[in-house]
Amino acid sequence: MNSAATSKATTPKSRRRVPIDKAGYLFIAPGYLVYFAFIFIPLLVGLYYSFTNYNFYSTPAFVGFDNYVRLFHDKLFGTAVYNTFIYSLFSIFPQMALGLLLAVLLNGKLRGRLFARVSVYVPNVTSMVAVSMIWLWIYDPSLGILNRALKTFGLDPVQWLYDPSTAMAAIVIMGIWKSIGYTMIVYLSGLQSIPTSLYEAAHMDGATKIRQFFAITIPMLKPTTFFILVMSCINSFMVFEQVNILTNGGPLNKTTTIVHQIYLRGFQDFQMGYASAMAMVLFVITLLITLLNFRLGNKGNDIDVD
Amino acid sequence: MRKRKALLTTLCVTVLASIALSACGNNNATEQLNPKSEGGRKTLTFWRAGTDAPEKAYWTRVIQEFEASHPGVKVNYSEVPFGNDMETKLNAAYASGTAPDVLSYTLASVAQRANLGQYEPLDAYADKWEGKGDMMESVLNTGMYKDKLYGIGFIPDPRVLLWRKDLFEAAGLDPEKPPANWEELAKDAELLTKKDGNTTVMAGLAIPTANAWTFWQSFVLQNGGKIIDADKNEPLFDSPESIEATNYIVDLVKKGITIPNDSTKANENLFPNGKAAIAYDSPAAYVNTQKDHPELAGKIGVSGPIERKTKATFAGMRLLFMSSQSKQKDLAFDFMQTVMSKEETWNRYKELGTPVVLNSLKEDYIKDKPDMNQAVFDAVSYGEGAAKVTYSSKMYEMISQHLEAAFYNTKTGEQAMKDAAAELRKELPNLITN
Amino acid sequence: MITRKGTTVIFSTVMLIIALLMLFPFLLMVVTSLKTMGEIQSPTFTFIPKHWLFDNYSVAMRRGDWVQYFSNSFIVTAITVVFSLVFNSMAGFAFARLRFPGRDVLFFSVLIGIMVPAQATMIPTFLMMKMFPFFGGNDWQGQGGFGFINSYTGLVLPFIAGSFGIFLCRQYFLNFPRALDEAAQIDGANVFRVFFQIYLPLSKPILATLAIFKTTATWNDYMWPLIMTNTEQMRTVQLGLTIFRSETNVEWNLLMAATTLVVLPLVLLFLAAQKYFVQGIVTTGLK
Repeated sequence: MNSAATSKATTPKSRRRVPIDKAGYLFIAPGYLVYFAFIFIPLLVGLYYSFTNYNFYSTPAFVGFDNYVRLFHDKLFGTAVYNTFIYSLFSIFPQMALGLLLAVLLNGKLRGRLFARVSVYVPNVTSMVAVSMIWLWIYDPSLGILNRALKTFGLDPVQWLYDPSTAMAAIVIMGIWKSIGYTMIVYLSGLQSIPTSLYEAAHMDGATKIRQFFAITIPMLKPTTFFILVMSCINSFMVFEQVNILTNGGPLNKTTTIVHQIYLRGFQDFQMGYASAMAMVLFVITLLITLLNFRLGNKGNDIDVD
Repeated sequence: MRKRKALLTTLCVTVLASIALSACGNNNATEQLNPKSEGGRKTLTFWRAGTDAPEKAYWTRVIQEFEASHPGVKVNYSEVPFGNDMETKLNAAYASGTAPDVLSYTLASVAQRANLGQYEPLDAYADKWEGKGDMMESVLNTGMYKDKLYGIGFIPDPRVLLWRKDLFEAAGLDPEKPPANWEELAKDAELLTKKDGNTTVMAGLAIPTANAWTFWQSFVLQNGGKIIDADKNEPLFDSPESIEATNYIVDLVKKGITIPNDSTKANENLFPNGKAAIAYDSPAAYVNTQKDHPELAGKIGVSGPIERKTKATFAGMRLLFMSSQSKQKDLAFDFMQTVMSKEETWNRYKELGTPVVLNSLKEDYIKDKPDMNQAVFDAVSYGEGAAKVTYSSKMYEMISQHLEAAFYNTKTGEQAMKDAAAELRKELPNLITN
Repeated sequence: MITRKGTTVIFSTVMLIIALLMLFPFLLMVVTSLKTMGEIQSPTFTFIPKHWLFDNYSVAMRRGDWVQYFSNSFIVTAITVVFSLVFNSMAGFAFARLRFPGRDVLFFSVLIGIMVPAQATMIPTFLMMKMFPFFGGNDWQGQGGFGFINSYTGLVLPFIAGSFGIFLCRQYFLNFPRALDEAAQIDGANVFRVFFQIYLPLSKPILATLAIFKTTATWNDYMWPLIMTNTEQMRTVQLGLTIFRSETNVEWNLLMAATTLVVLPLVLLFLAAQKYFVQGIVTTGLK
């Protein structure tokens, strides 16, 4: 039976004709109305701003595609797009893989499981400002904690956030550290929906734990993995806070990201029209990636549960 | 079944209760905000940039006294962190028509917001105000934009030379003799720098490597250079004077006399962290260093900036602005006048260590702490803040980025200035939009 | 059996090392909160404080009205979480399990919401809150008053339903065995009863997850309360934390002490919620 019901056209032959549930509208109404009023409409307003010279104060004047044309020639924005891709590329896979691994480990019986769960999750609940300041110490260019550690191993100190070749890596590491807890939790909750009977049957057939992990856990976690993949892609493309606090986009613009540019151009330069155009470009990028995810994610997603 | 129903009912009750609760909260809060409350009561909103506790205590007292002397007036006070936090909040407020009546904010905002018409011109009010004549001319001028007065400067933040006497002594230098010219500064800085292998662990001179423009501007001005011709929108920072100053800084950075840091991050500021021997910093950095390191009492020297071709330094300024959206402008100016009075200016010095901005307080101020206050007062009188052009933040962003490129050895100081000026000229049509 | 025990010990040790690595920055925060400023800024770093300054906590809590900040954050977070659990799980269920025209289009329009950064939509949302008709002194056109600015409603309303929660719940419900509702339909139960009596009771893990995320997001939100609130009485804990840093100086020890206290409720919530991540809930429901 098809459990991932995103594609409407491809109804499998086996599916019975099910009557239309009008109640569906009632179920989505409260959430959807709030979403529509406070997220969707502002989004359309943002789209409108991207065709104007809105500066938060004067009445916006229509400027056609000027903002988009300017964007096309903006080298700094190009750098930001490139950096954002680099960040996403290097942060999405590790945080998903490590999150899954930790979730599977912490789902089983383990001494100190509670302590480990809390430790892995705590980075995610600590507010970014405090966390960033701690990481600034760790990465301190003169005698930071990381550099002291390197020194004890006889290695040369590194200027981490102030070295153009390591700054992005430093930001990625912190990003992974912060989001492992998040993916772990989603995986943990996903693991709970796998019927134990499957493992029992596998165990009786004599399948090893590792075999069970690949044959049952991974396929059964597909909707969860899909969710995490989509969310991680989107979240990585929105990366802003750690950049804003840790490096301000530097050194040599090696860590400036799309949202960081949106923030600077909008709120520092008062060019909200231009910033909105950037936001729309980011929207198109994330939309394409999400569509790609949906396409790939739905392939072979038919899992027979019962 | 019954259990489930009970659960549902509990849920419904919670939801209803929370709706009621939020509605109450809403009523209370809007009542406090609404300027047209009953019985002739007036509410004045006042926001200030900055969130530190000592200044909050100061404002709490000033507001209490103001309310006591103005029956029926309530002042709504709010504080917001400096930088982009404040920009965001102000932009939201001006966009929605809820800007504060009075605002304490930076010099860098004058051109941008006055040009948009967000700040009220104060000339009509100031002409009737006796205190205006007593204000230091340089301070009064900071609030001028296109021949109109938009803000009244009241908290100057000049850069003065700070040095660690204990480290001078340890390096064999005279602890009472700070460097008197650029050559001596470079020599002393190199002598005072301590390295562990290739890593600097004590900066001889604290030079920010990111957002370095305030530091850079002090040196450009000292060398007789200028930043920009505001009337013609013509960048002047690629002049020989400016390039010479830039090269001087770039050389020092390449010698490794500083530890990389970002001037906009308070937590990385080298001097108060005990990681620099000499710094161009604000008097506030001196106060903080003394407070956090009691063992350094009497071991920190303060003097005016080093002279080269002209006496000059960077000086930030906080000003009081009035919103053009304010519905009670007379009351707003009343409040500003109270803050600017001789009495309050002196209180500010006593409670917060703020340099005075009134000529009549000069003697008392210098007499109070001669070793330091003379230097600070001088720095206020010839200091120069951010350029008053609408695109100043973008311009300084460009300058800082090209300086950074020179620090990281990808170009010379001269090339950095030329590239920055070229980039600014190219971008200007996009930046001058209103 | 011996080998099994052996692997458990190895796994436990590995986990302990990973856990300590993950926890290290947090521990650093806690020990910093017990140091003097002089020690924090001294050139020689020691992990254990020289003098344990527990006083920092009481000093930090006396700066500003922390009782008020905490109660504001508690109220705002509680309301937001309760609403979002109900709204998001209902919508997620419908998108996963019910069949109605336009469902997939509506679902995709929900997903769009997370693809535009908050920085771009913040100001339009703020304007909507200010011009909300009939509230906060506004007339029907949304003029004349302050709308929801500086109110709990303003802090709660935009966050009680959203793309993330709906998407999360939908993906979870997709995994449910279909036999569940088929059995119920044979019994003649309507959709509401299926949702409230079969699905919801089996959704504790996902509701716990959503509750944790929503609480964390609301509790840690900084930008929205910053622009939304204008008075001391409405400030939340994250805004309260700004009091320890100024333009030129950061009071590390006090900031870290206050941050530790601000994080504490979230850690406690996690401790309470994580017990729902226990294998086999759905299977028990099946039998």
